[in-house]
Amino acid sequence: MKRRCSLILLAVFLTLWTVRPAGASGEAAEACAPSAAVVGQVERGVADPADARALLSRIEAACAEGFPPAPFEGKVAEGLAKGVSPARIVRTLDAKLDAFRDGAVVLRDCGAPVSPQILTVLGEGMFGEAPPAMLRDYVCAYASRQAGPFLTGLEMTLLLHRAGFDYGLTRTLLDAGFESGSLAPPWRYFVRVVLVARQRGVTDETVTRTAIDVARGGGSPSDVSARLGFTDRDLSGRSLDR
Amino acid sequence: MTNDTNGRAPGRSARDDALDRMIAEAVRNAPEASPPEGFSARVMAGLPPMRPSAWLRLRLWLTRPRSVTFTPARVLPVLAVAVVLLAVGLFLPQGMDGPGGSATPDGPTLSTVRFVLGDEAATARTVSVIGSFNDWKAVASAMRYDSDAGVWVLEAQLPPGDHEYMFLVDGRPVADPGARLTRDDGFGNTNAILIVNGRHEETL
Repeated sequence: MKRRCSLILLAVFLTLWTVRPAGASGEAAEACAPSAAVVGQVERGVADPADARALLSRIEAACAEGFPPAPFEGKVAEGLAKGVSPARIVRTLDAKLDAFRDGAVVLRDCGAPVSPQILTVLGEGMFGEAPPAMLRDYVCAYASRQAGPFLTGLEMTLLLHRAGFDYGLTRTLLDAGFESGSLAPPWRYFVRVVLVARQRGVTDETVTRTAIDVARGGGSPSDVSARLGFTDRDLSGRSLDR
Repeated sequence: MTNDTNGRAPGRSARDDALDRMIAEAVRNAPEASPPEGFSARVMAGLPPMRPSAWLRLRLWLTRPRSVTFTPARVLPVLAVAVVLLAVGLFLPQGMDGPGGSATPDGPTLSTVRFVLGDEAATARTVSVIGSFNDWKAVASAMRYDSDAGVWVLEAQLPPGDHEYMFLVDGRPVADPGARLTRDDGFGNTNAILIVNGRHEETL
């Protein structure tokens, strides 16, 4: 079968395909709409339609500003599950949105890598108890690093902070990890080693010194725990006394 | 231009008109002769080349009809490649979460986590674990009461990552008294942070 055609027809077709309305696939229309799951939870858990609208509008606002909607949807679901009043959930969502905005400003000011994961982790950190000055210091100090290690270091910093680990010690460990290129994803949960070490009477300073040596040699947190005299099995919750 | 009363253009004499007529008559009566061989080619070669504009060439290239032959033997491989590329384009980005992406909840990566809440007096009627891992749904993680040990127990399969949770005791949120990593939930409660790091390092 033979057909005569011209490339201009092909070009027209490809152009139409490229600039086709994204809504045709339903993606654009749903891009900033709360998920069906959270809409259902709000409809079942909130009696006043105005309260329900206020909750969902916060999710839409977060999405419209370029933030991942999942943390905000999760906070709505969490509040409803705990029996928190809609007005209190709205206030919390507003505070969370402010924290995400602050995080985005820090990333922009420092020229750091930006991704949905980084925005989420930094926004959650700003929303939590982490001091903004500490987070800004981290972001600006390691802004030139690749997104993967940057994210790992950020999560590691936040978890260590929640465990009451001194930020100065964290920085010395991060410097060693970034300089040696050894800051792989397992370091994200280095806090587990710290907590077990404390339980065994090992000081944070000793843990840090050991970890720096391991990081400079390209090792992992498992190597740190081995050098400190306990194994991965000891990191299991089953072996910890509660 | 205006002509005089004789129909002659201004500045022209009767002699000029006569000369024109004589030349026209001579041309009409002259014998016909073919141009020398190669004359046209030499003239054309002497002209400076004129290259069409890029836009004109593009338009000509685009609008030039082409013959395309469709045969099943040729179409099928092309269709197969197109389908594969389309599938890759549609599904690959969703699977590239990167190092900070959420863990897949598929079988091999799940770890067994045991939640325990002491209640020796058996005062609670229902206890559940609500957390980021079950979208804070109490019905998804109801605990059972172990009367011998006097504790509420739930064993759950969780993906790697850090998860926040609380107990829901008769509908009221209760913090895990044994948690060593915690976080303010923004509602005035304290969530426990649970780290699941893989199959062989269950929980902290």
